[in-house]
Amino acid sequence: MDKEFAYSYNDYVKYGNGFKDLNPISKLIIALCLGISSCIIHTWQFGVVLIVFSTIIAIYSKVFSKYIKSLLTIAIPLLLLSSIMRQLQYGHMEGNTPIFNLLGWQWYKEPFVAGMDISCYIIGFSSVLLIYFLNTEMRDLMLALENRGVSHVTSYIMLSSMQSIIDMKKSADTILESQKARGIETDGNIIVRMKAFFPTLGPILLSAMSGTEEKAIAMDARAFSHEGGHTYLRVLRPIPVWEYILDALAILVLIGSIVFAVLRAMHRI
Amino acid sequence: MAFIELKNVSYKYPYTKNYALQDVTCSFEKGKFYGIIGENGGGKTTLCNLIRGLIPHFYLGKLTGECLIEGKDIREWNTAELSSQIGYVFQNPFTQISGIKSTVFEEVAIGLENLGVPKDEMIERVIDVCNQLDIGHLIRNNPNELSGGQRQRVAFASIIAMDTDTLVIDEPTSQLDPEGTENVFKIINTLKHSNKTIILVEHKIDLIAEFCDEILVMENGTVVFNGPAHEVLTKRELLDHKASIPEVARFGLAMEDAGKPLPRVPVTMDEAYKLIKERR
Repeated sequence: MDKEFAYSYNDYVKYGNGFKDLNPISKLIIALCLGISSCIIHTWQFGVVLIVFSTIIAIYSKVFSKYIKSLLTIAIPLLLLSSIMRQLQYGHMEGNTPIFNLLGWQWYKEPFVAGMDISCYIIGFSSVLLIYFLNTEMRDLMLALENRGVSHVTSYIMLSSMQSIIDMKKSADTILESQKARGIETDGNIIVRMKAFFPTLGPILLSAMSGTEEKAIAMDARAFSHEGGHTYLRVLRPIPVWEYILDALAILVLIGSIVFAVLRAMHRI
Repeated sequence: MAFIELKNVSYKYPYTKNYALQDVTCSFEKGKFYGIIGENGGGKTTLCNLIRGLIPHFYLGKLTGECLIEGKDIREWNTAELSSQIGYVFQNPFTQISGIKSTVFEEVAIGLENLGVPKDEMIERVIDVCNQLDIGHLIRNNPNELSGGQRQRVAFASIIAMDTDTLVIDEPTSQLDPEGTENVFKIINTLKHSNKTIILVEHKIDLIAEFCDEILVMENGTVVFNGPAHEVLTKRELLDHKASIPEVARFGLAMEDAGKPLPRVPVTMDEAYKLIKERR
């Protein structure tokens, strides 16, 4: 028996990283305020600032490789698509400033900046959310929400649904493996894969549904519907004052962005 | 006084024609180890569901007769109250894991969290149970990544940690390999000496013979035999009711038929060994 591990539950939940150890709700407030600000301000400059901010946090919290892989998957196609679309939409308009010629196709500055604005604010928004989810375990978020009065039933539904997705993926893999063993082609192009995959959906869903009843009984046996107060083995650290200040700053950024957007709109009018 | 008492209980599941339990009358006393045997579809699991309060609170359907738990009708209990009185472990090890905990230690503590047990006490109880069930080496592991046998032991641990007076165990080894089965029966052996009331449904008749004080034999929703383990397991009529008897009891009966009876029909290997040794 690893008693050191067992007694570690006497301490608050901690990961040894300043950002990761922030309360999940504080982190969520920061991520949402910054993300929404990006949508409101809607300029490539603010988007880039957010991307830089998220990248620094990713390096600090040691999730950089996962972060950059996911971000590039979104960023590259989005940047290309929005730039091309804007060139096609507005490239022919008079007064545009030429910037370069791509194999006979003239690109202009104004539609290019408009494309950058859209893609950068979306990438900026995605980057802060990505940082949030890479640094926050769902069970910590649900625990924080339970501490704020969300019922343990809601928390269970959220967490078990996420586990169900993993379990269903495992079931799908098992069924596909057995199909393969029976000589059915499961590898190859997308059509072959889809042909093999779609017939497995029925058994996967049925097995998930049949397991639900037993799971409910198992949870009932563990006093899930007990009406007295619940206690928790894992306890989150009490929120320090400076964390509230961080949240307040994030909210100020959001308010500032709203003011900025209103003033910009008035100026245009 | 009986802890659990059933008087002329009949029950049928919703949307079914046939009764799963028919006119069942039996009782369970505190501190005894009961075995329930019988063919598949005989009503064993339904009886467990009734004792655990899942009937009529979870499974609706038609229930008649009286089922009293500590003198109070099952209809008047709520399932949350019952869960702190009667623990329940069932067949499928894969659906008994909550799916929301990321270590075995947390999984074992889940019932205690729900019951509101203070954290210090919770940690001590989980450590005790993990040691008792020999799963201490698993506490850091993710319960969703364990083998079937390991999951069943974790399911036992989370129920035992709740320290209920009664345990209903429904075919705990039916989906396990021999090693998993052996480990589960080690747990059951530990429980036998814990002075709890245990109701075990199991097909492995040799193991039932070794552990149980009393046995109920069920067929088509009725209790066909009920009494002390030795008395029930040596009845020749059991074979007519599609219930198996221990191999050594079969041997003892064959010896009687051959006109060379042992002093009594044995039901366990140890008993048979002693009887044969005495005979020499």
